[in-house]
Amino acid sequence: MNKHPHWTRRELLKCGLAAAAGSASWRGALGVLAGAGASAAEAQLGGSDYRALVCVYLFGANDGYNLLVPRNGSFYSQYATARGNLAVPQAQLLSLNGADTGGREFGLHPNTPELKSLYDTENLAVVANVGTLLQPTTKADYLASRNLPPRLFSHNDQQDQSMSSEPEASLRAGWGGRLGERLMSMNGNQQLSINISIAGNNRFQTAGSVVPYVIGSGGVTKLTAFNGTTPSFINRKAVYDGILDRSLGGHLFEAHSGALTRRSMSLADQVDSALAAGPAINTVFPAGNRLGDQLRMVARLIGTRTNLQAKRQVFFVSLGGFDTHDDQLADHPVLLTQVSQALKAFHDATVELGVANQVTTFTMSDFGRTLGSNGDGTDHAWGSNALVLGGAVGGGRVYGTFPNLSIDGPDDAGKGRIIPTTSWDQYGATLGRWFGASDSDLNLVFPHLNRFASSDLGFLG
Amino acid sequence: MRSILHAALFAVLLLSACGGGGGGSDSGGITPPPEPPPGGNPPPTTAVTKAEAARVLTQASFGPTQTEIDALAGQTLASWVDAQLAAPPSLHLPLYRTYNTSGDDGNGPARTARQEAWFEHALAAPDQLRQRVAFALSEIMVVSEQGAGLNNVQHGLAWYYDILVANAFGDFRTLLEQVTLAPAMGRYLSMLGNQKPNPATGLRADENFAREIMQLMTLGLVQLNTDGTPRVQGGQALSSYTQIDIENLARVFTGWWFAGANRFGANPQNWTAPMVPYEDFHDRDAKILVGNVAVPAGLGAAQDLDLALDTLFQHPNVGPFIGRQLIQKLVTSNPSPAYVGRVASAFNDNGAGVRGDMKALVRAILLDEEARRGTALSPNFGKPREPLLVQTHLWRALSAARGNNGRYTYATASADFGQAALAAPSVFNFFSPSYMASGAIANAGLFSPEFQLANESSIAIAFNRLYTSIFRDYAGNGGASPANAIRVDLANLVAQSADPAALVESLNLLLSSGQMSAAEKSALAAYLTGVSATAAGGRQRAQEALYLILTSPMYLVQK
Repeated sequence: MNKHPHWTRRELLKCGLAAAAGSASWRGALGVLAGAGASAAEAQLGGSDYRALVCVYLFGANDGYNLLVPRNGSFYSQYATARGNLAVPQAQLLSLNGADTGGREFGLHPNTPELKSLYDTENLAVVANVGTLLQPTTKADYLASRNLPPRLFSHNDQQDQSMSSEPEASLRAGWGGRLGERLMSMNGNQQLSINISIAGNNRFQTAGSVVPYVIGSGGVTKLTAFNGTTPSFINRKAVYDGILDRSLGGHLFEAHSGALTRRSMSLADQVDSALAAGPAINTVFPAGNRLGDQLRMVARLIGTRTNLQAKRQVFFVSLGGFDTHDDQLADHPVLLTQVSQALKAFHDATVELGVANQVTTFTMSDFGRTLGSNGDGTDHAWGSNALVLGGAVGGGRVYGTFPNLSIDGPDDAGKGRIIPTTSWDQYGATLGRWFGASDSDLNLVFPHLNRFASSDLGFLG
Repeated sequence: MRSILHAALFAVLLLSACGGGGGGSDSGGITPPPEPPPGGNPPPTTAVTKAEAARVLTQASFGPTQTEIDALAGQTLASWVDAQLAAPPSLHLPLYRTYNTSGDDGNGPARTARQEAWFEHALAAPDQLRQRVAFALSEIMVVSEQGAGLNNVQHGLAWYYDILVANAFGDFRTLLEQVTLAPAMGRYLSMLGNQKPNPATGLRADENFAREIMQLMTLGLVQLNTDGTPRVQGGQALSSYTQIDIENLARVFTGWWFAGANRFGANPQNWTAPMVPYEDFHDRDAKILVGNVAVPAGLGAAQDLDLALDTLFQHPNVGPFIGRQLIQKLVTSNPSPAYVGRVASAFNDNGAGVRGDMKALVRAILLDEEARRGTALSPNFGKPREPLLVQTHLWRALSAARGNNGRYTYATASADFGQAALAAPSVFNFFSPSYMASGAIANAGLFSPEFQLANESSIAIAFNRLYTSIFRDYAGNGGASPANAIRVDLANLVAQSADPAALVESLNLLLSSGQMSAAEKSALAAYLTGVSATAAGGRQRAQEALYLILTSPMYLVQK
């Protein structure tokens, strides 16, 4: 688990570490020495408390400009003109207090009253117009193709880039994984990954020495074949252990399968016991809500943090279906309801567990969607709005720079694709800093961070 | 091509003489070579051994059976492949229609019926290679009931699948066109009902299908050499298309709707006939397609479509892009560039000057020396088995019987194995061709697509399902096994259970293509010796052996 990543010189070049490559100092530069990041984190925080990040990935590209809408005067008119038949009627918006520095007042989509209550109680904030960027990018830059992220508007590429903050994605790693690498030594149980996914394998939580532990929303699955204590079970397990032993050290695929199986079996017992002994979650989660089911499991796992000796954890959950090329008016509100209800229940559960200030939840998505309609839906775009939630969040505000929502306006890359004014790197760095990463850690977790004016968007204390 | 065929068959001969390619023993003898066909000019004795037959069937079917191993052994590989290429297609929609006579194509029973048809063909269709290739194509040209309301039109999904079945051994250009015009694909990727742009209202042509047909079904993201390696300039891989190309292609794909509708955008919806053009909604302006191909103004929807599909079809990327993915789905995750090059060349020209001949492509994939020699050529040759295909292998190998309802009813493949036909979570399939599992595999620069499905949770669920299939759902378990369960037949294995070494050797051939190491076999035999021969009505040893082999990493990686 502590094996440092084997990065080729070419990959290090991309990382800007070519000067250090080939010398002993590159390991130090990468902060991969066990504990390097962790001790910095502990020092920063003045002691070992618990902190968790929860990534809620909305797959398919969420239309964030119908989630948070400018609701006053000419700002609303601009929005409505651009969005055509997809605009949310002004009277239906859930009004939020306050205004941004440009004088915009905002409203949330009518299907999200739970988000409004979280916003009003200052537990929820919106970060405006976030997206994939290699550097601050203007419309002129876009038209001149100056240093743009590669393969914009392609789902899997932008999912990869938002998760990795490394556009060529050659490192096959995600910033959640790199963050985890730096802080994983804070956890007492080194068998259990610092990163836990309730939504399957994902690049976000993967890095050289971190692979997410995957669990279902219903709990751990134990192998029936070995779930017993009689001699026949014991003998069967012994021969299977021999099979797994022999799988290591040969064909790489066989070794991978063997190691994964071993990990599954070993951790199943530990995590299952810990969940059984953990606190009951009395908060009611919405029924038939896949995101809610996953977040409920996250809450239960957080309840086992002492038992499993976890001080830092990164969780990953997801909801799909956001690629609303068609039927957007019918489909998107349904999804927003699910997000709104699931996030509210989760926040309430963290209050119930007494960890509301120690858990920060944030949304991400492939990209935003075109402002204009294709008839009954939208196409792939770029910048969009993201949500951050938790007791530590400076809620009740819209952070970042809200763009001009005119088609062919100064912020439009064309056809209503808004150019982001904040990058995922800045967004992630703000979260990572709160999580305990040092500034030098953050520059390694987010290789392009120093191209942007600010590495702290201010929404976390 | 002929020289490759000769080389491959010669290699098979070498393997036969040396006792197999995987280090395991050759469980069958070498049968005498067949008489040369009249007028033929065959290579020298090239009868396939049983172990090699099992390997071929692992690559070219939903799992070897003893009957099919025996039938293939003693033929030449080429003759077996040719017979499979000539076998008539087993279609899914007609069978679905016999299973679902309710007239409702959207409810739970309808979804189950489509899966029943799929399993019937996967487990019992004689055109196994065609069915296997169609399944592989369904993972490249993805349509899924998990999007765009397609859950409600199971007949449309079955009709779509039959396009892949019918064209798996046809020509790629026809396959591409039929896929493009299938209503299920039109709905899934928004070409159905796509309208020409209207600058006054800001209405644009939907780009979804235009993007995905290039990214996933024909070109891929970067320009390729014939051997599948990226074309590079100044250290950067060259993109194969731009955003502008997508926008132009999106305008080509406008004006299509259901055949027989009252008007564009209206009912009735015909999900089992190709979409037809409604010219008023088609963009007739000039377009420039990828590679600077000019489409003049004034053409109708079908003419534009023809030009666009011709353009994509003729692009040099298609052979390596599709060829490499089919190799990954059938044979090995990391083919050498030379192997890809040979396969792509067969796509580019089948030997008779024809481009896009799927038969030539499939023959090239299976008969290639690299496919035949396997780990003898490359230690990390092979691929993780698709989880769903482990289940089909077990059922085929153990002559699983249809349920009491006379069907192969199995509606929980997605929950149990993370996969089911036409049920991928997105247009990117269940796993990406370029997925590299973290750790040693990624460090070695190897692709391992199917491992994208594998995690602590998924493997435990899959192994538990296999446990149920073996220990509960066997013929003779009466009421303990659900009425419509698919039940394995353990009789053959039980008959061999008195001799654990023989039992292991049988399963070594049937499941592992003769590739189990001596250590594996002796450890398993020793364990089985310690299991009572009469326990569980004599079934215990057979069941233990089945479970332990099917869940072993050595089996789970197809070599």
